[in-house]
Amino acid sequence: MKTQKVKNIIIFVIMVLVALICLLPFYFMIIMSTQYTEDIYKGITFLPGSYLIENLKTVFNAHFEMYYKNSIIVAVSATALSLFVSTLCGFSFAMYEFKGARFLFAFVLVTMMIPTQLGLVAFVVEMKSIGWMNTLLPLIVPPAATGFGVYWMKNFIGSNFPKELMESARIDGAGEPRILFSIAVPCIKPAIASLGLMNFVTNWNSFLVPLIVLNKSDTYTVPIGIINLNSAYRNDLAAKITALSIGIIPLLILFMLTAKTFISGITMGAVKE
Amino acid sequence: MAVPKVKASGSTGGRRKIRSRQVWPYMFILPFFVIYIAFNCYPLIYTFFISLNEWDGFTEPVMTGLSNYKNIFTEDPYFLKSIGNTLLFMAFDIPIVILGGLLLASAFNNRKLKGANFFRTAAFLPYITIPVAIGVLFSLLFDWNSGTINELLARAGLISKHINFLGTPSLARMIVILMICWKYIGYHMIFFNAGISGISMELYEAADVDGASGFTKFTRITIPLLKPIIEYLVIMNIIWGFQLFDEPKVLFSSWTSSTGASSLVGGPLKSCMTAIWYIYDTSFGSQMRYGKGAAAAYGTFMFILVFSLAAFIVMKILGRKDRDGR
Repeated sequence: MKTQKVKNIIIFVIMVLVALICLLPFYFMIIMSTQYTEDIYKGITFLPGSYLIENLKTVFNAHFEMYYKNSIIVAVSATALSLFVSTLCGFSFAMYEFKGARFLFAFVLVTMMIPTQLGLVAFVVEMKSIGWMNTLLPLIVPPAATGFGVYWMKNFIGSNFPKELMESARIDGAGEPRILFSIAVPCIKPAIASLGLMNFVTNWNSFLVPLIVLNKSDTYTVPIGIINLNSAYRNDLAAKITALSIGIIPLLILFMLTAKTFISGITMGAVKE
Repeated sequence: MAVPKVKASGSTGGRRKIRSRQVWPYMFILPFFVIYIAFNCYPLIYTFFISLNEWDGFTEPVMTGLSNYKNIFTEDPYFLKSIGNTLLFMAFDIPIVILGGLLLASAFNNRKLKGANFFRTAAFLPYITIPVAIGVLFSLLFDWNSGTINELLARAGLISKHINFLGTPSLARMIVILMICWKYIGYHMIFFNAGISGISMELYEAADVDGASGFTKFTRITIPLLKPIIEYLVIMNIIWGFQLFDEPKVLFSSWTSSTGASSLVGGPLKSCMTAIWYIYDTSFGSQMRYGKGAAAAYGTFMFILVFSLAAFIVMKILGRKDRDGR
């Protein structure tokens, strides 16, 4: 009994340590964003300063909110489009047996193994030739087709949506699209929520493609805005860190509010076995 | 299997209905394939043609055959170095995050533990943070002059002079590995947590009755039952490992410098240049050599194929051994 208690205490201490390691960088970031740049260079402090409002003013004078607007447009539309594409495709692979289904699904699995970055050079040439440079479209349309999304939707629909339901709907005279949108979709809402959150985070965080296709500051998304803060504020480290905090905190809050859905979603695909 | 099932139930519906039922599956998968082929397959194939040319993206491309490949494999030492760096990072990251995640998950499996939920959320935060921000955070922490870690070490009296973490190749590599572990360990823990909670408690209780130690229970029950998850995570890590770019790129971008000094491509002596970074830098960064960048992409592709295949075969063999052993 006593050893159990000691063990629990040790585990608790490790837990607190790991949590501290995970959270401390964020803490330092927030603390630095409340300070005057000169004070940051003087050395670390663990307590907030009083310079936050000034820093915020500097940040918004440089139109950081524009990057936000762009990021929201990108993340919301890319997520919506990707959910639509993945649900359709996953539903089809889970519910129908059609010629070539096996081969086509194998193709989807293979796409998961090939990093899209490998086609980067030609992708950029393609974007130039269809006039998508300096628009948000390359960040919205191409990421909609993810092998992972299809695989994940197929698994979830296959094990959570009974085929009998389809048969009875057909007998009632419902067409296939109606079966999908008004019967299947309500059944798989949790899957849509989880996949949606995962997609949202991926698209919000996207860096490599926007780094190349966005060259005008009014098209920057938050990550690109963050790395270009250097040219916007130069010496003002505190302002840069404030912008960084503003750039990531909303996402962290979104995650904390939805942690359960998010976590269950991520593990759903792999843990099933 | 290939014969559509819908045909069998054909007698109940009209001919038109059956037709539409055979068409809809294809309609449903169409958007995925159209987008994937247009924006992934096509660029991938087109990249191969670009790799056979010398091209800056503006003037006429000049066909040069395999000379770009010859260049990256025999002349430019940095391509193979970037592949080596990528593999080195993976060689450290993958065992650490998998073992670490597994150990943390089994330690915190106790449901009565207070604050476990908060802890899990905290450990997961790094994973969803913008990778760019992670690079910036670590460059702030490990900065030579004003870095928090240097300050802490100096105050604790452990060092007399600030350490140039990001300017020394071996230390810089260590920081990159640390950064990746910091980002992914919570993610792995969550996975294993879900897996462990799926294992029946009776197994552990039966092992307790037999007097098995905690270590035996871990190696004989937990690990074998979590094998599908471990395999999944190893494969995912190999895929992610080859894609590493955002965090190291930003780590060395001199974001914190007050003078706006130019960034260090690839870290000190290119010790932290990753495969994707090399492709990016060759085609869009310090050089504008599309052909060479494209060749590097195909070179990287080859390595990905070899290593994924190797991992797959190793896991198959391990899996068979396990089955024979039982």
